[in-house]
Order: sequence, then C-alpha cells, then structure tokens
Amino acid sequence: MKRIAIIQLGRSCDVVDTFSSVAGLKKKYPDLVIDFIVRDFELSTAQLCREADNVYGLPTAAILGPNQAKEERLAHLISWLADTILMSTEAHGPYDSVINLTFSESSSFLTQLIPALHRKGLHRASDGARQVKDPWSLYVTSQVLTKNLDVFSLKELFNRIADVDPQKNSIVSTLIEKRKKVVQKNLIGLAEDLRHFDPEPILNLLQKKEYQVKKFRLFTSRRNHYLVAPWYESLDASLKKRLELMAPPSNLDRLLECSQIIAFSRSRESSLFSLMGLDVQDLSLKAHVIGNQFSLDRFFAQAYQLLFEFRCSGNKLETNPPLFDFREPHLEEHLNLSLDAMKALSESCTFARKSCIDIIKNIEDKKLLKELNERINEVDYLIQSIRNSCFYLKPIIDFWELAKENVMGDNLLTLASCTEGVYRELQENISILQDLLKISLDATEASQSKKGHELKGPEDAHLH
Amino acid sequence: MSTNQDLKKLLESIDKNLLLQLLESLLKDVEGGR
Repeated sequence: MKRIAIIQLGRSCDVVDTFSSVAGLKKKYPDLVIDFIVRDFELSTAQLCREADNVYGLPTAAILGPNQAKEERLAHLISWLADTILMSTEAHGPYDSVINLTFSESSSFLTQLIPALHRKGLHRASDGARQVKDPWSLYVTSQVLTKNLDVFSLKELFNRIADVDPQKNSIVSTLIEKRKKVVQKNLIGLAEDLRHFDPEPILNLLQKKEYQVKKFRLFTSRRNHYLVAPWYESLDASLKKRLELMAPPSNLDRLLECSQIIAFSRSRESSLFSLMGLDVQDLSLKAHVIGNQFSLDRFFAQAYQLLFEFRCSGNKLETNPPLFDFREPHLEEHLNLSLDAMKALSESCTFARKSCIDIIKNIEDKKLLKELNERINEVDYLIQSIRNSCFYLKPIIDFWELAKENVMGDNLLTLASCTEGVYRELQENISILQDLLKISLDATEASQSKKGHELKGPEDAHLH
Repeated sequence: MSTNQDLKKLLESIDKNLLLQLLESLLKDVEGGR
C-alpha cells in the first residue's frame, strides 16, 4: 500500500483548491493512503476533504506562543512532529512521496523533515540549500519565487496529475450547503497586489442593475494585505465608503458569510469562489477587459502553458490557438518587441552554446577557459537585459535561470556540457514559442478573412 | 507516545539542524505576516 503526504501550508483558498486533487488521486489509486498537512487554523477546512485519510495541523501559534524560550518552542515542535508524522512513519515506514504545494521556506524544511522516499516541490538539499529537482517544481518555483506572469499554477498541474476536473467534486455540494446556513451579506472582492489598480471602473460596473451591489468588501491574502493596505489608505474618501477593506480571512467560515463574491484578480485565485457555485467567471472576464488584459497576454499565457506542459509531462494540451485583436493599442509594438527579443535570445544561446563546446574541447587551456567563461558571462548579462526589457519573455528566462543555477557536477567537463544543455533548452523553448506565435497569427488571419473583416494589423508581422 | 524508548528513538531520528531552521523560518513567517 502506497502512502503519500501532501503539504499545504497556505490559506483557506489554497487548502480548498487542493481538495479536488486529493479526491482525484484517491479515485485513480483507491488504495493510496493520503495524509494532508495544513496549518492548524485551517484544520477545520482541511477536514472537509473526505478523501484524505489523515489530516494533520501544524500548530504554528502554539509552537511560537508568546514568552516562550527557544527550547520550549523546539520541544513543542518536536513533540508535534513525533506525535503525528513520525509515529505514523515509525509504524508504516517512510512515505512513498511527500508533495509540498507551498512555496514558503518553512514548508521546505518541513518537507525535508518528513521521512520519505521521494520529495516533490520545494525542499532542502542535505546542506540545507533550497532545492527542487523535478522539472514541474522547477518551473513552478521559478514562477512563484520571481513573482512573474502567473502562467501556470502548481495546483492546476497537480489536478492534472490526479486526473480531475476541479469543478466536479463532492466538496462543491458541501460548501454550497454550508454557505446556505450563514448570514447573507454583501459582496467581497478578491484582490491580490492592487497597489496600482483603480477600483472605480469595477465598482461602477458592479453597481449596475444586474449585480445590485451597493457596498463592497475587499479581501486580500494575508501576505498581500500588507501591500494593499497603503493602497487602500490612499483612495478617495468617497471610494472608501463604498469599499471596505477586510482583514485577511483566516478560515473558510469568514468567506462563507458573504452572499455574493466577485473576483477581479487572477481567475484561478478565485477557484474557491467558483467552487462555492458563485458566478465568478463572467464578471472576472469583464474585469479583465477593464484591467486591460490584451490578446498578447492571452497568447503568452497559453503558449507558456503548452510549452511547460510539453516540458514537464510530454502531454499535449488540447486547445485552440489564441487569436490576436489587431485593434488593440500597442499590440503591433509589443509583438515586434517580443519577436526581436526572441531573435536576440536565440542568437545569444547559439553564442553561449558555442563557448560551452569550446570549453569542452580546450579543457586544458586555462587562459582560453577564462576567456570563454567571460564570454558566457557577457551572454548572461545580455539575456538579463532582454529579461528586463521584454515583459513577455520573463517566464522563459526565469526558467532558464533557475535551470542554470541548478546545474550540478563535480568537474568542469560535466558542468560545461550541462550548461550547454541549459542554453540549448532555452533556444528550443524560443523556437517552440515562435512556432506557436506563427500558428496564432495564421489563425487570426484565417479567422478575419473568413469573417470578411479587413485585417488592420501589420501584414508583415510574420516570423519567417 | 507509547514508551520512553520509542520517544528516544524518534527524537534521535530527527535532524536537529533542520528542526532549528524550520523553527526560525516559522518565526520569519509570523514576522512577514504569513
């Protein structure tokens, strides 16, 4: 009998988001024992997950309680670990796998402390350094740590591994049932980092007849609350009357108090709300339009999703190519910038790869090696400047950077050949992106001529 | 815990350095508002 532990030290939304994957894994592998580890104040939420065999709550508050000496805290932590996890691994042997779905430093140490044969997600090397080895964790970690485009979510990927559609889950009915019992209040907005965000158009939209909302509540994640609070303070008094900033929700019940929830941040962040049967998607689409989400954004989001799906699992995502809307302001400019940046990146990779191969060929020539190394550094500098100038290529460059940082080897030959591989992969990724872009541009052209519309965009925006 | 011996055995199996780092990072989480 296989046993796995899933670590989710995030908040309610993250915990609930994990349910469908746990259920999917259980359905796919009925004999699999799944232990679910959350922070103890999310224990009641996690216990709603009927498919988890054991739910453990890390008692952070008790461990860190006020006026405790370090030894006391340590004793508390050891006692929790021994009474829950280690008792279980003593009896049944180490877990077959521990999957860490959180990105915090603390979760990486916890992942390492749990006896297991395999670890996925953020964990630690034997010397304590941050470590991720499997490609999907590498990619997702690069996204989260560098806080770039949210093109892929670990939870989404986890859902796919578990072979589930997160919308079809027994938890939905439980949540809806629970929601019916609570006091009906008005609206919540879900927000992430809103420092540069103008809420007025959204509020005006929501106040229209179809939504009938007079007062708004803005919920943020705990981490973002500290970023959003100064933004909120800077708003006009009249806006503040309409929009109330709530302290971060620490449990599901607080969220369930609201009768209607509108999410105007990233749609996948609002999955908790869609799970609760609320009409989130429709409005978030409208909010996206207000938030200037252009077709180029959509293209890159989908292209990266395809690319990393391919890199991580070899599967192909069945999807239609996203179409461009050439009426959008600055589309042509951004498209051309991205094309130029891709070309420059690809050329940089050719140069760096050649330098790596020269290192391998001249492994004894120390003077030349120094020169070659400098050349590679120059290429890296160039790649970084492309990263800073072209927003859309950031994720692919972050992925390369993380892979390069993780090149390991005990001799120069191995290091040089692995490094060459890292540049080769970046170059392949660019080539895939270019192909996808060509497909989307062709599809846009075909769709427009089919509709009989005049193509207003650049006739020459092609790649070859 | 069933016996003191079990407890001792379990405690010996824990990596103390990792434990300390976990504790430190939990404290950092609290300071960072997480």
